[in-house]
Amino acid sequence: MSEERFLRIKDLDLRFYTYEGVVEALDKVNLHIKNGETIGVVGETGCGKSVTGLSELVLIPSPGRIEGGKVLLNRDGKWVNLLRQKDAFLRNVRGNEISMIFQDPKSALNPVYTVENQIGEAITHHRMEEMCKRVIDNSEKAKEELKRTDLSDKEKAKLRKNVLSNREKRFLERIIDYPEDTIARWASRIPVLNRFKKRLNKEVKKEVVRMLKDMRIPDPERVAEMYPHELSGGMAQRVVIAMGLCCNPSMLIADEPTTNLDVTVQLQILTLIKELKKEYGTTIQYITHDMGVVAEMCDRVAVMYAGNVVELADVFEVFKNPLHPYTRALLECIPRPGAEFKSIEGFVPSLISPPEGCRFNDRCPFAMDKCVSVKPEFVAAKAGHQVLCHLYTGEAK
Amino acid sequence: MGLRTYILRRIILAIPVLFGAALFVFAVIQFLPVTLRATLYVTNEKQISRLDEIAKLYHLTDPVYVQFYYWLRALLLERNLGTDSLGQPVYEAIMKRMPTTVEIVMYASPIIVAIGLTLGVLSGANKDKLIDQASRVLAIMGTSLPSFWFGIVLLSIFYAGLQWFPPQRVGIEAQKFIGMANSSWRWYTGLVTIDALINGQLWIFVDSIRHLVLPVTVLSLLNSAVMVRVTRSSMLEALSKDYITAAKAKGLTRKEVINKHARRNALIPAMTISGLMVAGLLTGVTITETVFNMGGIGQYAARSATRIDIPPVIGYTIMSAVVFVISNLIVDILYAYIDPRIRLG
Amino acid sequence: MVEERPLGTTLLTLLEATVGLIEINLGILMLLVGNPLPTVLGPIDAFSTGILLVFLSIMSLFTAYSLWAGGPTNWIQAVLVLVIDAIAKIMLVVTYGTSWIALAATLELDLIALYYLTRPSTTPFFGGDGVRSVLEKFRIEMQPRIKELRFTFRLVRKSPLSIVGAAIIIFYVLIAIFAPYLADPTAAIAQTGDPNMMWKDNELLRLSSVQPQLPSVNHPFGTMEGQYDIYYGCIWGARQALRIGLYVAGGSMLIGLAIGVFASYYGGWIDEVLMRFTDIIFAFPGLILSMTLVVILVPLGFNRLDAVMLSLTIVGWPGYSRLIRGEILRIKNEDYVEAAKSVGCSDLRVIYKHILPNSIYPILIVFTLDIGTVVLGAAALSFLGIGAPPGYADWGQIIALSMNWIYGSPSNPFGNWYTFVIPGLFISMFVMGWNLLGDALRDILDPTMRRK
Repeated sequence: MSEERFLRIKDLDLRFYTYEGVVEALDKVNLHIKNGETIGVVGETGCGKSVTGLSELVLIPSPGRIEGGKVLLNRDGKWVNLLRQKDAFLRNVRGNEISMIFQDPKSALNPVYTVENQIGEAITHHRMEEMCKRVIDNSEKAKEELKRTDLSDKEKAKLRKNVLSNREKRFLERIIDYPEDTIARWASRIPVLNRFKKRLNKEVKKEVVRMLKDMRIPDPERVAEMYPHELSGGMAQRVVIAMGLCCNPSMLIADEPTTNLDVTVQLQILTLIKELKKEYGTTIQYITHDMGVVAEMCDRVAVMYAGNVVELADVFEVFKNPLHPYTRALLECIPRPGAEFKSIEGFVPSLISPPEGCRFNDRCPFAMDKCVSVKPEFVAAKAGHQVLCHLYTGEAK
Repeated sequence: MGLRTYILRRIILAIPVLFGAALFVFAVIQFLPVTLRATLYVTNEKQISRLDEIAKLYHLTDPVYVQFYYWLRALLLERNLGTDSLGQPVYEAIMKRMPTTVEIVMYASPIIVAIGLTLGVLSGANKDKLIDQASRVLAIMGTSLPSFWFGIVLLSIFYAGLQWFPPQRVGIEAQKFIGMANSSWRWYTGLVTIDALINGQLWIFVDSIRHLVLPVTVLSLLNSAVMVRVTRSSMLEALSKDYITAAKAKGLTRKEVINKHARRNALIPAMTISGLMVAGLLTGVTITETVFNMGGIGQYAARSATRIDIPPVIGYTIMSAVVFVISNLIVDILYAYIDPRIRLG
Repeated sequence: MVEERPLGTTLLTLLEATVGLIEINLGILMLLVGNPLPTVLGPIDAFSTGILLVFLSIMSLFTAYSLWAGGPTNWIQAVLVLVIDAIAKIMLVVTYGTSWIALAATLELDLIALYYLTRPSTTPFFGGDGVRSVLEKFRIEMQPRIKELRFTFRLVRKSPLSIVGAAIIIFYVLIAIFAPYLADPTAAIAQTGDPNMMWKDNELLRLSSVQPQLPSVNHPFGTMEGQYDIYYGCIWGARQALRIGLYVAGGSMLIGLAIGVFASYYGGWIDEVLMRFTDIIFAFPGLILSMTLVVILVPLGFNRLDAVMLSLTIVGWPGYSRLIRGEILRIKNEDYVEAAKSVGCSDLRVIYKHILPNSIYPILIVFTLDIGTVVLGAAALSFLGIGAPPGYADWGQIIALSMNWIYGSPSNPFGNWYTFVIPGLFISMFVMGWNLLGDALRDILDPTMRRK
């Protein structure tokens, strides 16, 4: 984990225009993610943690619109505002540099396509060149091998399977040079000409199986040919994670990946994610409502409430020394054996006509007059520990 | 359960339905008094005075279950559906007119499916845009216009006015050619369009196509409306699912997402109403044939109904039920085959 | 808890409810037996009067209930209740001219006026505030329901299609109600005794035989074969269309719902048998089965129109049974029903409180669309010659008579356009209105789409 920042969200405003009114889902959200870290985004249902993730990929569903702010991605030292990029650019980022996995694995997979098809889709989309090169390389190697004289017929037959005809080779090279090539696409539909596709698909499938093995899925060849409804919850989630990681993204956004799973499976998946992090070194943004998971998995944590990031700091810092009253209340609510069962009084405010000042003011035990009318600034109360609260604006750096 | 079990189960379930349908028709006929029912079996005038004998001959005074047995036997084994008021056996009358009806339906069905599915998918993918509004208007028109009226209006414009597409099955010259005593015409399938090609008489082929345009248009346009509507809503539902967002998050283009992911999921529920489409076709064919004087089974049944001539109507109804049930069965099987969730159990 | 209720309020609500019950009984009697009281127009109108009475009695009972439970809180609301109730009764009087109904209408008006005058807040004579607090509690309870309803109406207003649909329907309803004023039935009654049979212009018959005539001053839409006035046919055809639509769709809905609820409530073999029965009817395409039924009913003595209505109803009810059964089964499995049962709600209460309110919407939508379908079907049957007799004021029948003339003359192929274009437009617009409304309702009431 370095200090270099990978992604920055600056003053992000997101509104949903519904029949009942305008929902201010995100209100000047500020967040930065460092290279290689695991950052947790924690909050209750409806606090905006999921849409924050979706905003990073600019995938906000229909009645929603981003009304302000920036989503900055660090590309070789330069900051690019994803909100202003063309669709083609974004499509290159999605699944390739930033990947997202979702809460319900069974519904995140298309029920009419096999596992292999869906993971393969991501690979085909982003790593086509690599796959084509591999096929061509295999063909060349096979040709070389065939020159040997000490091969049995069976071995020869096996090697010949990998050899490409000239026409097929030309098609693949064409794809490498012109990824969007129409002729190649046409050829892939015509029965005789599309044999090059078969070779490609085999290579992609090999890659899929490799991914599934990495996910610690037993018997990956068989699983690759299964349909989503045949998989168990844990298995499906591993497939989804494989789908997310297959193009080796720099960052993975995990939106409550274990919420819908049994507790035992949850532990397996969490362990898997930790191991994958060690192997791949991906930056992870872990969205959850479970403080326990945060403590287990994350380096830093952002606490969200009613569309704001209210606290952002190191995990140990937050647990040891929570600054924002909401965070404090949250931590007190974690059930402890022998202690009284606590909860936070009051309700989350409606985001259609949110309160003018701090959105937590009606439930905050430390609320001042200022809090009702004036929104606090997101400032660093200490080094590396930012809070959105009037109690700390005096201590601004 | 696997695919084979599913298919078997479906077939087995269809049989009692068919049986029940026959029973239902039989029960409905039973409401008529014996003398009336006897007249259904009359084949010429002289028999009217000897209705009692006819009643005994056909077991019409026996207990109900005996009657049902004989009725069903006559239906299935002897193919005796009774005689119409003109003295013709109903079964033969229907068989004679069958090819006409088949021909119309044969051309209309693929058009309906093509329009319905394509327009439905496009409509759902581009909600509230121009193509969506246009197809919704089409759908509403399709379900609001009376088919007979639409047919009449088209006849008025395209035949009376423009002389392009005449009613009836073939024109006068073609009729003469086919019906001539020493004509070279040979019937192969019974369908004028196909047989014209086989016979090498291209002009008859063109002529019969010309005659088919209007009835097929009326049938297809109005029946595709339902399919457009259903496909559209199932497309919208598919697009609201999580896997669409996941696909987008993989970096796929909008077109790929719609065509690859959403469409197949949308088409599956749309298939379930293909059965309904068959019902619409059967009904539509009855009306369309009458309007355009095509001489098919539908027209025969409709004319009989007007004259309160019972046997042909009964025969037509039973036939429709059989066609309907079987086509539903086929659709069910196809559906199970396409949806992997059912195919693999 | 014993509630203090002023004597006046109690008496009035009881009277209102009694009038409502009398109306409903008379209505059902008329439906079953015919007209027990003298009216101006024969047996068919007893049928229609009966149905209208049933609808209106529902309104009366509703008024009674609302008086009992909450009543108007200010004079605007009171006037509204009064006006709506009165309009309904006046419509009936205007349409059918039966004198005793006029009597009932005025009686109601008096009762409502009396109630308002004797409200606790306005008159110390019947005073007492005990009722007030009960009414307030009820109002609070109804708030979320009313809010949902208001939201629905707002959506309805926002959707232009539903407004167009509703407007079209209201247009036809007005035509139907005011038919005797828009198209004078005296000539028709003079010729055949039934205003629903179109009148013939005998003058023109002498002059031009059966040839259809172009629109003229005497015949705004022209005449058809046999010199029937097309305008008259179209206007009174609206009545026929509404009659068929509401009776068949309403009838099949009531029968279908009853059987469906009955089957799902008792379950077991009753359910199986009834569902097999609906499956059998579903094995036939609708119109074809109704053709068969008509062909059987007519020799049994029904006149053609009644046979058509009856057969369409028989063909239609299974659809509703399946619908309500599907809804009940779906909701039965939802968690909140289990929750309700676990706190001890009886089955009937569960159906009433949880299942019915949630399944009303799909039924409403299907009913709206069904009216259009039924009218189209009846028009098709009339066109084929199976429904209304020639000369009857039925749109399908008018088009049937025009079949011989659609080609016009060789020199003027569109010469007789008015014989089929105009009635066809009437049918299409009518069905389109119901379809638009049904479609719009479907979009609006779909809970998953609502919040978007």
